Amino acid sequence: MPDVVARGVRFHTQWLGPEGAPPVVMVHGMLTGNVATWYFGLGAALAVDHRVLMYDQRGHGRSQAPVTGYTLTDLAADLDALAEGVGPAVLVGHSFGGVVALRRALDRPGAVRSVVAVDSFEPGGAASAGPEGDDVVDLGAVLAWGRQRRMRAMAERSSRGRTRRTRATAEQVLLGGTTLVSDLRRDGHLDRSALARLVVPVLWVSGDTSPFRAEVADLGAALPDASTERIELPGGHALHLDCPERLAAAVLPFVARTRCPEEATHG
Amino acid sequence: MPGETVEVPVATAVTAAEVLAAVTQMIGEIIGEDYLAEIDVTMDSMVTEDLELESIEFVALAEQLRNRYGERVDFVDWIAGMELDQIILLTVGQLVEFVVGCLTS
Repeated sequence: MPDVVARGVRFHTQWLGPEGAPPVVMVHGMLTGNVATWYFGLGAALAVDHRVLMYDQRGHGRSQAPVTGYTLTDLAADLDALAEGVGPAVLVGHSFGGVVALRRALDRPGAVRSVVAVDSFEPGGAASAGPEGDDVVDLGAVLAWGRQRRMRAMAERSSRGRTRRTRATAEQVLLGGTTLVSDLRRDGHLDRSALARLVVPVLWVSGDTSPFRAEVADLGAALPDASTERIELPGGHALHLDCPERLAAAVLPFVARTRCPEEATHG
Repeated sequence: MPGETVEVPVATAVTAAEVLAAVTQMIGEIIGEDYLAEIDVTMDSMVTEDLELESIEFVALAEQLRNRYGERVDFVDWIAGMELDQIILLTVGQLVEFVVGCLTS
């Protein structure tokens, strides 16, 4: 069943891969992401020998868009509710999805085998987090990045003068009709001292031409070296589109090494 | 009913016309019948340019194909093996031929 109601919100979910295989849960990024971030790419690659759960975060893709509830605490609680039934899982997150995954790893280390974070950062970063003001500067950068991608996609289509379907984008809904920006401004950061003590293994993947390099490096520096593997790939923020094969080649061995042992997922 | 799996027996010969009708119906459910009424879905229709399917709607199409044809039509694997520009140029005819090929092999 693709739709699941959790925490009072209807979520669009998708499963790939054989039932009973070690579980992986994938979390897309804010505003421009949805299940399609993973579905035909890293999700399909992992699904060869994992049971992969993907879902649209609240307000994204085909999930419901409630007006409120977009704090990091809420988004991590959504993940926790949706992933509860699958047992200890590997969490894979893109952009802020990686932050959501790390938050669940901090809150429920026993429920998380490992975390793969792909070009993840907190809008604003810890350094600039503060009372109302400049801490959302990078949320603006995220929007500019998303618009640029969409414009490129539109340019790739040659217009034949047909009436195009006009639908509100997730970005318009989230920015115009929800508390996302104020929620993330209030609660959008990880506890750095808790992060420094994280024992759950992390694969920290960054793009060498990402416009968010500084923010990604800033958050990555807070992770303990003992439990963190770091890899830089040739590409921008959307590594899943820029270098899908290299991303899969980096992620698959890490997931195989850290996932739930096969025997523990059967019966 | 979405979610219901209709298994097509292996021996049944499936024609391209039947699959085209089924795919057209799926696309109508995904993008809306109102929009579908304005366009003519043919084998030459381009899935992203003419029908304007977005990536999240490709996911919905994958789900509908699986519900109708079961695991024998591995649309996810097929799309996953394509380059982005191949997906942008994908036609309904290619999709129909792929489905027919899966069901008759």
